[in-house]
Amino acid sequence: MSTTNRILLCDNVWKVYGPDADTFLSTREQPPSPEDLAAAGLLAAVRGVSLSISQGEIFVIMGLSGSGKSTLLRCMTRLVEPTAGSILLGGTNLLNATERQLMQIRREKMGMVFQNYALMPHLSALENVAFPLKVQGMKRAAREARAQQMLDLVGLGGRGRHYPHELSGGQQQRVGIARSLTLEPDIWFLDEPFSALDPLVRREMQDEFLRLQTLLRKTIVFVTHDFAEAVRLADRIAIMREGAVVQVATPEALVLAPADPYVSAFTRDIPRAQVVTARSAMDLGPDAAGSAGVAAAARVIDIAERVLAAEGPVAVLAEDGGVLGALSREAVIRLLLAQPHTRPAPVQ
Amino acid sequence: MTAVELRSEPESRGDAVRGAGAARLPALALLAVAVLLCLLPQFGVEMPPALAAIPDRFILPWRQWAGEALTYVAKDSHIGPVMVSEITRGIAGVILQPMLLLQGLVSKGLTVGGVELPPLPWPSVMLASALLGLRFGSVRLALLTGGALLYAALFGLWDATMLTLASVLVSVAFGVLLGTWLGILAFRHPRVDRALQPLYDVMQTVPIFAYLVPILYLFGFGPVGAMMATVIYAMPPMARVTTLALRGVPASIGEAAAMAGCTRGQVMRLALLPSALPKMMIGVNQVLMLSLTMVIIASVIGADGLGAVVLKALQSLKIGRGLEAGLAIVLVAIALDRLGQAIAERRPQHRDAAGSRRWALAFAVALVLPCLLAPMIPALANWPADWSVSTASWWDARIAQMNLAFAGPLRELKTFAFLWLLRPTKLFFLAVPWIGAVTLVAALGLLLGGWRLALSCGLMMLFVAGCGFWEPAQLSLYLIAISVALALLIGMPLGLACAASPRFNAGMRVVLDTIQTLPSFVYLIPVIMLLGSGDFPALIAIVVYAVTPAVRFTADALRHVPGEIVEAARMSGASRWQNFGWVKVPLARPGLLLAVNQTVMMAFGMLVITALIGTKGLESDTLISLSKADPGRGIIAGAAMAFLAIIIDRLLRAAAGGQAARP
Repeated sequence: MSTTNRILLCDNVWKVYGPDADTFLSTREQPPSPEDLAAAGLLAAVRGVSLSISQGEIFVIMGLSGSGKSTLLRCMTRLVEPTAGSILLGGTNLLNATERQLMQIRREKMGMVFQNYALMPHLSALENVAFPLKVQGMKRAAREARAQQMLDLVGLGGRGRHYPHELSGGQQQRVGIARSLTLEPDIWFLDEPFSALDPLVRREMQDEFLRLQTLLRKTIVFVTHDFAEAVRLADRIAIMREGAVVQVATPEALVLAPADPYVSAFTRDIPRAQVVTARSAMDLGPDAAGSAGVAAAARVIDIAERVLAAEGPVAVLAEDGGVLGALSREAVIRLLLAQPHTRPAPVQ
Repeated sequence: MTAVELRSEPESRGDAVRGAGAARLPALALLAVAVLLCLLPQFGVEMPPALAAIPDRFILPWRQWAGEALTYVAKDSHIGPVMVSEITRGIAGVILQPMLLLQGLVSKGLTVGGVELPPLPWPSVMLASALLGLRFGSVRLALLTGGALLYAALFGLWDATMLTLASVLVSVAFGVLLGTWLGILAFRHPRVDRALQPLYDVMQTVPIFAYLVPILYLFGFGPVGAMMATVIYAMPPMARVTTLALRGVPASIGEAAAMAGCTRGQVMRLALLPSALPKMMIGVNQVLMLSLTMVIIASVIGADGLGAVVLKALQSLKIGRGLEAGLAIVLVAIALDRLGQAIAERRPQHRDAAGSRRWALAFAVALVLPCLLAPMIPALANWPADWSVSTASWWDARIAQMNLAFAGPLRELKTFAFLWLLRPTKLFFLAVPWIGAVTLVAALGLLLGGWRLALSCGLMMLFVAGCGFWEPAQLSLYLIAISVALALLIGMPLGLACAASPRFNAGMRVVLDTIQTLPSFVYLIPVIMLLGSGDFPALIAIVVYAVTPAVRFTADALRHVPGEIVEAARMSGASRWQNFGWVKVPLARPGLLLAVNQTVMMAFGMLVITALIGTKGLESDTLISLSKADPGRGIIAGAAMAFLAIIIDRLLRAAAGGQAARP
């Protein structure tokens, strides 16, 4: 993971509300605790967050309401001005950018989807999607042609003339997604995009999101308060609490090795087979039967049927086809029954 | 300036409550002293003259100062090398252009490049208005908008109506622009907002005539002056609604625009303002109605239009003619209000896109076709005289008949009211010594809000007592007191009935909505018709006008008592009356006090207009100052009246708990 190209780097980012918050922070040698801040009449929304996000990954920021996750996302886009720290996007520090430069960066590199869709009520779906192009002064015909492509992409091609209030929640968010992709951003920010939708539609939109991602391969920062959603979508998850990041790991590592009781409380209801990969569930050794093995990165839930149907343990294969180990029926059954895995988790 | 401190009063209520135990006793003692001081003259106790009325030698020459200051600003002052008078006349000139254009278009004809063009023929305007109604509302609205104009044409009021409409539309355009700009400014800079809010409060309580005096000085006599006054009078709600509407737009819409790469200006222009527009339309509608009210009243300073027709008719006692023109005002007001509401409530539909071209075509045909036909068919260019009807003489006859038939009872009623209600109350108020009034206001302020409220209200009352208009102030207050008492006596039971019976409420709402739409001026017409002029007809006009908020706010207050609490009381075995007296009324108290407050404010609004039918209070001083070109008199009397209204407003709001919402 660390070898791939890092596109977004947050270094010790703080967002503190209150009078003279920046001088308070800069005069401190030790990072202040929430109690210190409260004593000074300040309120910290984001406390010393450092993150690196790689090209093409889905990075989910998970936390309960008030944990600072949305504020952190807005610091990354500078919709909220961070109090301290630095944010590097492809090598340039966002916090040094002037208003004009920032505008250019947003036009060229960033797209954002909002929790409550944030569609302009006076514009039709098509005009909403075309809005970022209109802002740049593109001619109507050209921008609406492009917007139509985007609407087709999210499956709303026929609803371009409808106004937001004439669309369902799911449809409105499809428009929001189309709008955020109009400018072909490098990095795609989604702020609780599906939280306002009812469960069935939410599920459908998550599938749609994954479908789009296999097509587009964006770098994604996705904020949610729903751990199941995070597990379902994420390559890596950052768990936030009271403005600080508690743990950053893959869904599997979070479930197998939670950093503290707070994190493990979230993981309790997650079916193990859904997150654990064949690699972590297998037994080491060469006693696998045959060459028709399973991929090491496959999640157990997806290969369970094949392993259970097989005569003996099934080979677990690396990407180059080499045999890494064997997956036994017993291991699979134990995971399906959500028994805590006994083997120590592999170090990530 | 005083009002700035006042604004913070509700926030400081916490202190007042905490200090209540300690501060209550001195406040109550002060109140007792104040009541005693006010009542002493009633028991024949001679007050030292200096305490009864502030002796002349202590009265500062406010009136002179105000007059001189205004004269200086208007005539001699300059900013850099440019005279202020040149600036104001310049602004007036700029505003005059669209006004002349519109007036020329609908009524007087235009000269473009040496070619004289006739005004739009009446069928153009009438059809276009009906189409507007159809486009934004329904066939019923189309009948209303078209019908109002048909009425105007039928009764020979076409030109007057067109002039009124032109003035209203131009004032609305300026009021909306100015209000939107100030609203955006307040939205972006909370400090500006805090400075403007109390200013709007004052602007909306200053008597209309008091506006007119300085404006005449600054902008000259005539339609532009009238329009400036209209814009200033009608603008505050627009500014307020704009700020509120912008605050109501979800933050994410602004963020989405920023993420799309908008500049700051683009965020406002392309995202925030359009998203706030539906709510802002409520403000536009208010500007529309206030402008109409003001345009009608502006006839007093020589603006043409329907108001002038009514005024002239009333002055020459041609009651029937006044009634016809008054009805035209009523129809125009209702049509404008309903059209404005229909536009405000509209939301875009995807089906519209196809239809909008057809609508545009329909409008073009409606406007152009009569213009093309008019040269051939003169009846289209000008409404033929023999198509006109007049019911004026019929009305005059009916009224004469009625006056004859009811002369006896009416005279008796008037005499009775005068002997048993007006005269005693008037004498009572005139006997109240200034020291008593100031102490009373301060004591109430201390009791209800704390020392800051006491100080600011006391100082304002001291100004009223010491500005040289103490007697007119008492005469204003006495009329307000009686009319508010009567309006509440009538309105609150009606409000109760509304809250109790949905069917009664539905019927009442239609009546109230209509009554509320009418410009205050209209109320004078039937009153003069039946009762002539003087304090009694003024009283009736004020009561009729002020009864609306009494009904509406009482019903609202009672209806907003949480149903669960009422059910809990019923389950506790409370009888109907116990439930009402022990549960509903105490819970609805802030709302009921707000009802009283609104009634008082409306009463002040109407009192101002009653100067036209010969009342003698502060309102008449503001009116007289117009005709005598004595600006100091108008400004100071106007300020005194505004202070009286503000004092009552603040005290009642404090009593309601400070947090009661503004209407």
